[in-house]
Amino acid sequence: MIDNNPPTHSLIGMVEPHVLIEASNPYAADASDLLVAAHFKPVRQGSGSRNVLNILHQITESAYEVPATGSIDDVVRRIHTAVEKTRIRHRDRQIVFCLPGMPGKEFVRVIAGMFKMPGGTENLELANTVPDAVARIIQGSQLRERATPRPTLALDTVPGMDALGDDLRDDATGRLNAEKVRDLFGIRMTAIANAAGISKQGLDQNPESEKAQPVLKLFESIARLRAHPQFKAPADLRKWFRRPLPLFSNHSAEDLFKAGKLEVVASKVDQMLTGDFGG
Amino acid sequence: MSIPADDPLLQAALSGAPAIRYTGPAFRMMPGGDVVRNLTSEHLWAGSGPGRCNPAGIGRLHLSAEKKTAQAEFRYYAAKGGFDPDLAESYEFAADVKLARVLNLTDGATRRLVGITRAQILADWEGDPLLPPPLPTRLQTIGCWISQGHGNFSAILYPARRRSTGSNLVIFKGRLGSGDSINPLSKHPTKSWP
Repeated sequence: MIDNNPPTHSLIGMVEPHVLIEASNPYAADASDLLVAAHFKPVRQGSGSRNVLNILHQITESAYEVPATGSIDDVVRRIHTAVEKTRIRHRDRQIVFCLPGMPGKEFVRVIAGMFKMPGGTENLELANTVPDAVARIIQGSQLRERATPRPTLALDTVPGMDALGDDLRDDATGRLNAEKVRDLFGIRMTAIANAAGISKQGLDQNPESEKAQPVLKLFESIARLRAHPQFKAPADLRKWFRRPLPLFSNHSAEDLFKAGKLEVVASKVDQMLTGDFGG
Repeated sequence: MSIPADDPLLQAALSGAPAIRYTGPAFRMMPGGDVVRNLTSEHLWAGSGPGRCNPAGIGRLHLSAEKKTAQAEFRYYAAKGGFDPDLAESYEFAADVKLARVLNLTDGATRRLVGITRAQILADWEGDPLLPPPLPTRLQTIGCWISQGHGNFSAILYPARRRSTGSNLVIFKGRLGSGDSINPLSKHPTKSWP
């Protein structure tokens, strides 16, 4: 169940999500089962675990035992110290701290007390049950994955490139227009609407829809092919778009668009035009 | 294509692998047209798509060690991408390159040390975009670890697939040291004549 050979996570979101568990049983076993259920991979401390991005760290039980007097201040200080030490040991990692078994009333008092401590509690993820800790790890991982940048296009950094797509934009608003993209590439509005995740009717009514801009931007990047004399004429660009090419394993760019892979086409066009063939 | 799984053995092999100095010219060819006139050498660093030596998302610069190799790369990929290479005018970007620590995979002993064959280097690396992404190749795995500092290399010199006697050079953006330099011979790519 637990892997001792985790991968490196230097590029967030591009690898299978592994989670380092620093906890004692039975909590470690519970966390492991929950992570596996969510298709995450639990790992133990080991030679390669220093590279794992997500960490579930159980604070030692003695640190959060509430004394009979009921004073919570010492508990807050002990937890704060444990959090700081763990953060120093795991710099630049996403750590969820767990205080399993801590009663709800004491837990919320600790939460309130922690946020009064000077510094160190920013972005603190604290849970008092293993399922809550695991859920926080999963949510955090998914949010980071969503925010992962795609490979950058070299031509996006080149001055004057925007002008190549001026004819695809509305003169007044400067936004990309689905009707103009449709006409240039000879594709259906329905296909653009589907790719943008909106209805055809909605796109017909507002061809410069904000939701359609990301997919239209990809078409604009592909239309940079017109900068080359061989594809200057719209008919030549359309022919290229429909032609099966070895570049796409003998699929056409249109096949990739229909399969939701238009970003692959945009990336390849960018590489072609800059001679970035990849060796 | 994803980042490779951790491989302590390969990482250790890279740490012990010898480095060579690379001092000399390097080349890149690209199609002509309106784009090339606006390109400068800095822009060539901006891409991060996958390559023979790297998974996607890694900043790197692909060059060829010889002008003829750069031309062979251009002709092959231009045809693959639907250009007519006989009609596609080409432009050339040339640079004077000085790198202190390069992993030399044109050398058989170094290849054996890091566990890769010449055939593995020359194998096709691009998967079918409509199928699930393939696992990174051995060479992409090596490039990935080098980009993260294993072995303290700044580049890989490797045999070119498109020209049997040629070599290509991939330079990793984040790995250039203080003694390394890539000085373009001209600000913009220049028209190339066969």
